[in-house]
Amino acid sequence: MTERSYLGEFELMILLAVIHLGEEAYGVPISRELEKHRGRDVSVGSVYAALERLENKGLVSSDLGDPTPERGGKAKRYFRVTKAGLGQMQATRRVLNKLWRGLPELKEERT
Amino acid sequence: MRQTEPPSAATWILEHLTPGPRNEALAGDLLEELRCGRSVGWYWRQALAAVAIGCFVEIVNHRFVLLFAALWSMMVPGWSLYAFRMEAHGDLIGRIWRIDWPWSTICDLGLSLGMSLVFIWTGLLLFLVPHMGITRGFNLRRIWQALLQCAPPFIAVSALLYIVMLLPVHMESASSTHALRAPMDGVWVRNYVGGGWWGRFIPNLRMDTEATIEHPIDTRALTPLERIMDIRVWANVTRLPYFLSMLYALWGVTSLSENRRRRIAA
Repeated sequence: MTERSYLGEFELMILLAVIHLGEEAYGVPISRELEKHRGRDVSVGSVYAALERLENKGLVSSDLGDPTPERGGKAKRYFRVTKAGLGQMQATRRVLNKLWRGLPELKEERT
Repeated sequence: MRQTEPPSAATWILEHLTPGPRNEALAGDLLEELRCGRSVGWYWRQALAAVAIGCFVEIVNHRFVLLFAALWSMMVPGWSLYAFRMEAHGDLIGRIWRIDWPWSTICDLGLSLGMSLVFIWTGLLLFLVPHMGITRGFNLRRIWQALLQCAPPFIAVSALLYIVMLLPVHMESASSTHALRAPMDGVWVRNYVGGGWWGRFIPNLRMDTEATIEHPIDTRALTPLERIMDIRVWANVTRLPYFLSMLYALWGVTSLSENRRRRIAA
């Protein structure tokens, strides 16, 4: 069953960060990636909350890695975007592009 | 020198108070960041934010459970009146009290508890059956689990409320020389004191409780609807054990993570 809904701003950013990071997409790098591009602190808890919501929607999937000593013996949880997630991202991108294209004056004013 | 070990209190809060299955990975992430140069203050902020976000998400995920438990427990005073009339019909109470002690007390407590559980179980079934139909996850075992889980918190909260709120009232009015004997028919206290059974368990509690309430009302004049609409503190105290026990039973069986685990298993 396909549920037609578009991604929120934060969800879209997280999915993009997960794709950027590829095989290394777990909590810390995802948060750092978001901080780097947004220019402000990100709560790791909010990243996990959004990822869990996306996982419940079937847009990402996760696997637990091996526990490591530098993490106190706690495993990393790796995320990757599913095919449905990619489809949803493309759909959101198309809508956003159309909307932006409809605002040429605003773009000129801001530059 | 920068601290590389996390504050144990923050770690405990993070690991024990954050709902959901992500705790371990999140705790590991925060530890990794701390060891990479983040401050202890940052660790604390992240741990507290994670708990707050986790709780908020849980509440949002269970909003229908909360709403239903609140609405169903609003009906308690109306149900109590109905239950009382059923018990009074055919002199059931009288027959119980003619049995020798302690069986009379045991039967009375059992009857009151049974009536309360029937009300809670009806609510649980009314919520769970359509909910499981909508989520396409009908599971008889989980229905049984909810029906069984509601009883211990109901008994515990009722007992706690009695000890915290009603015992002092009883003791105070028992020591007063001006203890009033309000001309109530007992229905009022029956419906406002822990489902009614405590009133019969301790002699004179009915009358003493009535006397110490600031604005007692004669519920003989109230309709079931008026009782349901009563939102004063004492009416809500009566609702509390029902609300909490329903919440406890429904929360577990309707959790999203459970649904997710089931989907993964399938």
